[in-house]
Amino acid sequence: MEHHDNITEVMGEYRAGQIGRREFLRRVGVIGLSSLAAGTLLAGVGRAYAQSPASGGTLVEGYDRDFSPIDPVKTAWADPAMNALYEPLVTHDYDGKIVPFLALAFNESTERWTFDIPAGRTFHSGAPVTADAVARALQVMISPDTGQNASFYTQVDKIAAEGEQVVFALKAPKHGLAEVLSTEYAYIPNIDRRNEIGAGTFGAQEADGSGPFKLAEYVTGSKVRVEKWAEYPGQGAPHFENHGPARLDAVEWVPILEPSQRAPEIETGSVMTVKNPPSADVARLKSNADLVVIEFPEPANFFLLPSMKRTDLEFDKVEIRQALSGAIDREGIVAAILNGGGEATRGPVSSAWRFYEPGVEAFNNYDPEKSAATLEAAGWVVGSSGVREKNGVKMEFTAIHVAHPIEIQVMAAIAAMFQEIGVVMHVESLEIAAFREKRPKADMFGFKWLWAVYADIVPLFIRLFQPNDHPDVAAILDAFKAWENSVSDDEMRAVTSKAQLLAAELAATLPVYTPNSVWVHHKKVHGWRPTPYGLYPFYNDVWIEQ
Amino acid sequence: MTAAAPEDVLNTGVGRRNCPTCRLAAAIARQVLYSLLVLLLVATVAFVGLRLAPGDVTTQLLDPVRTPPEQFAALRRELGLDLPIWQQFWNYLAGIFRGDLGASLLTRESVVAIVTQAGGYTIALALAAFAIIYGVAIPLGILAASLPGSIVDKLINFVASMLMATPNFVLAILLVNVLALNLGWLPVAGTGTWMHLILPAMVLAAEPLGFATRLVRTSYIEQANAQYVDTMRLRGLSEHVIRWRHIMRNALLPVVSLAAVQVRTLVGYTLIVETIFRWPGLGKRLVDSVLTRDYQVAQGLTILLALVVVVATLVSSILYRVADPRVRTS
Repeated sequence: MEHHDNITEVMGEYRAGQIGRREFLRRVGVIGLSSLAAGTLLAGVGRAYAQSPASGGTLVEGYDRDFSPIDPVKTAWADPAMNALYEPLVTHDYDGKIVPFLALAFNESTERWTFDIPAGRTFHSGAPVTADAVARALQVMISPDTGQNASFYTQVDKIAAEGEQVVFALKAPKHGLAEVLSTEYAYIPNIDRRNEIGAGTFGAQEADGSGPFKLAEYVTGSKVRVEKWAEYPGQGAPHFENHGPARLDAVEWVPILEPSQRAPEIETGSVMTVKNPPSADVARLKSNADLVVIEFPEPANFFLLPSMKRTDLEFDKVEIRQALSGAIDREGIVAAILNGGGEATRGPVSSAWRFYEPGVEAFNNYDPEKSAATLEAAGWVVGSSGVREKNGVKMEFTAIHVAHPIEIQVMAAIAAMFQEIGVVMHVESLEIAAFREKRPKADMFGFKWLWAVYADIVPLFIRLFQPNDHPDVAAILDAFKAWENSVSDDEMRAVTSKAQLLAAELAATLPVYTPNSVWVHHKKVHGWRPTPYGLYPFYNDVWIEQ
Repeated sequence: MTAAAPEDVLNTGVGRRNCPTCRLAAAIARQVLYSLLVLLLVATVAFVGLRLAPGDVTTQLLDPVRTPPEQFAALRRELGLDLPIWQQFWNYLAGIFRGDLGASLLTRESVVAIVTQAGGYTIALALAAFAIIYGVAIPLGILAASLPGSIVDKLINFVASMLMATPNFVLAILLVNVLALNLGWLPVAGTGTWMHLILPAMVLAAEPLGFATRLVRTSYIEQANAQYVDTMRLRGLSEHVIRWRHIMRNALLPVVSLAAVQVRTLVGYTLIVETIFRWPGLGKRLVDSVLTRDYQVAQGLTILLALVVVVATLVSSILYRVADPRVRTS
């Protein structure tokens, strides 16, 4: 009887958060429970405990990048603080389905989309979030003069407020509109305040959104801190648990730019979550009973783009591009360089996409003998120096890429693979500003895009960096254009299948791999759910065991 | 011929040249002038060098793939990057002379505010590193020199050589794993308490510490074997006085010079240490600003770091003159 009372007492203390997991296990061990029984008991108690979220505390997150201005209108990179400060009209739920967020509901037709804006909402500053305020913010984002994503809204004729609705009038159907509106670059800021204080100041020294947290501190290279907005009325997206003000007092992001420090920082508790620890540390983190590792394919792809303007190298000919593609051992790269933390891709996107076309797997397979034979047949014969030549031109060129630790290795591996078929690729690793400057004129470049709307981003690179009058390019772009104008999921699936197959076969870009995105959090952090659709978690559900 | 009165001597050029304080003041004035020239040159090199590098800050604010080119042009106009280069340079120099280093092109924070904020962290880190370097190197160097050829001497030499040979990046990983991860004595990274300062200061101090220890040892042995020491012994000075007043004073002269050099070394090393340990100092801010082409911040920080080096050199030069009578009277 006394034994039973003791266990109940320990369980009660654990449930109330008075003792931790280790102390729980120690005390039930003293009472005489086997470790197996103790573990089972703990799981049961933990479940009970997890049902009563606690309030308060600061979540400290280790971020794998330095900070960019937190301004949905003008920033080249969206940081996780966007999810705490602002709200999108719509978002993806955990199954990838588009659901309302700031909007109460939305309605789609081939000519117009409407979004119902809730009454009585305000920005942090107290300025009202009306349909008019939302429409004016979105007008800035879709205008080619001010919106960096304007090219994703070409089907939109105008955006206006009608009563409590924001209305998108369309020139052509755009079923994918909601996908673009769910990205950080369509989150709703107080555009009047932004105009008042100016871009740059807005998003760094001040931010005014309608999200559950307010910007408290932004120190470039050091930290970003947001604090709970007590007046946040909550939002209604069905997949969130908390529909009121945030549970956390604050969230703080610290940049951990040195990859080898990410695992030690979370293991010692100096941060509670961390993004993208090196793949070599992932197994160790997974074996840590205090941590949870979440891994999923990043909405990204690393690809090579051989410039079709290099007609002397015959990059304008599909068989040459295919020959280069066939020399790349994608599985080898994923296994050896990514430690298995990714997926070799043969089409322009990863298999995680809901519209992925498995037929692409018939293309871009590793076959160096076939590649060599194709080049030989095209007249590119191996010269005395071991390099293929044709009409006095050597198959030798320079490929540029961003100097990222993984991508440096990948490019070096690909150069070695090309060498095997008598093609010399010199690799130039550049910092991002230099890369962006040199990219338009590069013989070839390697780049990883990261964007949730795959069918928007894939043709963008081809449109910008390949000659649009080339028949292969035109064919791919036309196929993707059909995606932009599709009116239903079924039509989208059909047209994207065709576009993916064409992109894979015509090899205007050579897909290589999609890396996994790895997220680690302490078990005491609850409700923290990064997703493959928008990457960063929303913070209103997050709470910390006290 | 009668001897001139002291005031007459002071009134002649010869007198001014012979006055030690006047000579020191003149030397300092020359060095200050020289330092200002160096700073002006650094400011110019920073300005030109940054603009020679491809790309500009606009690609940090707008995505070059998704953004129409007109927006880039508008942003360049807004940030003043479309002005002729000579005009940008003139505005920049005029700003420096007004004490206005401008504002970050990315966040619009004033460069002075950035410098103030990050400078405090760098000063704390550098002071802690200097405390470790000289607090450990001088006693260890003297201990090794006092027992030349002994096990202690060899051990100290070995450790000093190891510290000099180990890249600070490797040492950082090693110390993090041992002292933070396994033993849990120190925080892995970040700021907040004095404990956070220990690991970065240790890593920053390691290589200069090894070098300074060896220098103190060598210098001490050299002075201890000098003829003037034998003369002093013959004149009956106590060993204590010879050792601490004469040998030590002369042995530490090269260390004073080394300190100025080490300021430069530390400034260079802070970047790696600040990145690894998330220490929000100037080194990391400088590199970030160069990479993002945030010209105003990069220029401001370059000038500031050059100023630190110039001032350290100036101070060490003055100290050297004060400490060494041969330099003072030359």
